[in-house]
Amino acid sequence: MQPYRPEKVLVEKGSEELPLTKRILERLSDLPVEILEDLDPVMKGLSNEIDPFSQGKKWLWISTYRGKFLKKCPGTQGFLCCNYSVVNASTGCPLECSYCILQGYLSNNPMLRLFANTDDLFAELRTAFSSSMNRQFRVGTGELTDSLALDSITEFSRDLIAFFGRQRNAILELKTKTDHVENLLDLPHNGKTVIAWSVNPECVIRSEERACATLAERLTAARRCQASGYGIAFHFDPILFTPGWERSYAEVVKGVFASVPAESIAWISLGGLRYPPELKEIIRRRFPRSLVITGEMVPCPDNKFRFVRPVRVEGYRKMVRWIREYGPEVPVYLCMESRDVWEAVFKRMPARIENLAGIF
Amino acid sequence: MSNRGESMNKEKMDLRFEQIPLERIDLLEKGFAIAFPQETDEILMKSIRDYGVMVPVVLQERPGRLFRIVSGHRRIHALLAIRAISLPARIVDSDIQDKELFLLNVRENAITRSLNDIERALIMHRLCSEFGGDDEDVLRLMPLLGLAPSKRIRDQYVRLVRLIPELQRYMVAHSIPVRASSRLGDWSSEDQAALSFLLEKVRLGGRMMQEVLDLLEEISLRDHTRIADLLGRMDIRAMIEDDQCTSTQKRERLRKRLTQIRYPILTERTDKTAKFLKAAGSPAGMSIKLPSYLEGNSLQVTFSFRSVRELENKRGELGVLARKREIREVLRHLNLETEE
Repeated sequence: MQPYRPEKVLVEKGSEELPLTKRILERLSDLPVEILEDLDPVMKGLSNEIDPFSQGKKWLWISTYRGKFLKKCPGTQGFLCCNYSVVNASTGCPLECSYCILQGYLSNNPMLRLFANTDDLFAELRTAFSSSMNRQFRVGTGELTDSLALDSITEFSRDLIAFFGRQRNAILELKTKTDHVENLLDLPHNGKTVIAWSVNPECVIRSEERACATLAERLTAARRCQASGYGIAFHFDPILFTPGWERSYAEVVKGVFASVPAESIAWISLGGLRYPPELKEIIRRRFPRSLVITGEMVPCPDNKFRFVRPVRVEGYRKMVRWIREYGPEVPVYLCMESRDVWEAVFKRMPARIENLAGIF
Repeated sequence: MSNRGESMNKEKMDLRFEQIPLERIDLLEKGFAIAFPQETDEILMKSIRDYGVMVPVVLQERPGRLFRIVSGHRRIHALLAIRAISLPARIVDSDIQDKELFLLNVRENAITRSLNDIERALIMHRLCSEFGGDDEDVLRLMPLLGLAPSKRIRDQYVRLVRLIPELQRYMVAHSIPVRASSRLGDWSSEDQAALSFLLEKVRLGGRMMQEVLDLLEEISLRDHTRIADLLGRMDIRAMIEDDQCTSTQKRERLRKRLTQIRYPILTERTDKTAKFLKAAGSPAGMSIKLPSYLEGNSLQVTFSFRSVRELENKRGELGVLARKREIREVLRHLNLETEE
């Protein structure tokens, strides 16, 4: 797939001398660059566009982040959480998935934002990890963006992977729908980084995951990373339990294990499509032909829409069975699901599933 | 619509009032008319009959030709209806551009009455399609129409132009919010006509309209079927045309039927589970409730008692119920534990 290239770069005044900014501007030296003190006029202009979110993807905003980089994954109220931590070094994503939660979540900040003060980020992580040496951190960068979508211009993954390679109690997960792994293949990761792919059948990718790598490209990239010694993870998320889903998802499971040996798979997660009510209107407006809003989805206690419970439970059971056929020992967990769905699928809670101890 | 243009024309538009006979006005030309629907306004007629024309109309003088109506189409037609002979008018020069005259009419309407959404849509559309305006002109005009100058809002309104006139009239008559009505602009005219037929029989307000449109669009998209075909189904048609039912009853039945079509698995599971529950026969005075949308991991039993003996009786009845095969079926359908 083609690497991301913005149409214009905007730099917050004061961030232009940061090393990451310089690195990016050098790479994008042929693009117009604006140094701005105040982003408000730009944001105001964007908000008046027909589709501010699409327009926002065309501009890259480099700035300094003044809050905390490391946060606990917000999970969802009343549903089981996998104790994940997130680092948001950038927000927004150049990929165009119809179901993407960021369309609603970042509607007031539709531009791609990149925080260039990485020294602050690493200092914060160092302090957090060293002050809780008994805790094992599992950290992801893919909450508010795709972990590798901007990597061809930032090469930030190289810094991150090298940093985590030196940590004793932290693992990094880079989650992506791209095949941009060129930067990763020669790094001293020290087994502390897991590269993860969100996967879906090719027909779903074609209709709902625009500007992303094809399934074959993702699996090829996974194989290359596995050959470089990385742990690999797969997220069947979101699963679209639409009529006839079984055949295409069973094929993806088969393809995953044909590409990466089971013993190299660190974990697999399963998550049915879910969305907050307000996202439906956004999907309808931005992707009028998308099938994601036509599923049999109902409101759940956390106010998100999910496929009706019997469909989810039976669907997860089938997925687990197919995965077990190829990789009986691979840790499999559910993402953002309720206790009773866990029990219905696995007959027990994650704390009592042996190979999930390192995750939950 | 530049400020420079406006000031250039200001003098030509300056005050010149005359009493003009109706026969000197071109009554057929409605180039600047923006009222929707263009129907005779009884209230306006009564007002003119009682008090006369309080605000002069604006006419453009055209050498050797009849006056052209710039502003006041409804007043002039009301005067015709009450057989008036002449009316007070402000006259503007013949060399003023049509775009300026159109905007003058828009301005006069916008400050003297509340424009409806179809009128707003038609104004924005016509400014570009007939009077040479561009995107910037429209965005500048929007605050005068009571709208925020945003391309997204403009886009929503422009979709209203694509509605068939019957639907446009319905949206105005029932004050349907733009959010609900603008999406219909993407429907084919056949689908719009089918909806219009439905609305003749079943009145849908803003919220219900939104819900029904969601159901129709989602079924159509999922099943690759036209909305016209969906609304033409025998069962739905019979429901719409059932003269024994009130509009409210039809509305509820329509919503229920569309929901069943939209959510077949949920409907089937709920029906089956309810059937098993009924077959299990809950004891008198006891009710069993399924989790809403089948989400959640328990059923709820409700009963009341007035004495220890009554409570013990209930316990016995619950024990009998628990041993019934149908209860196990209910739990199985809900993917819940069925073991002892």
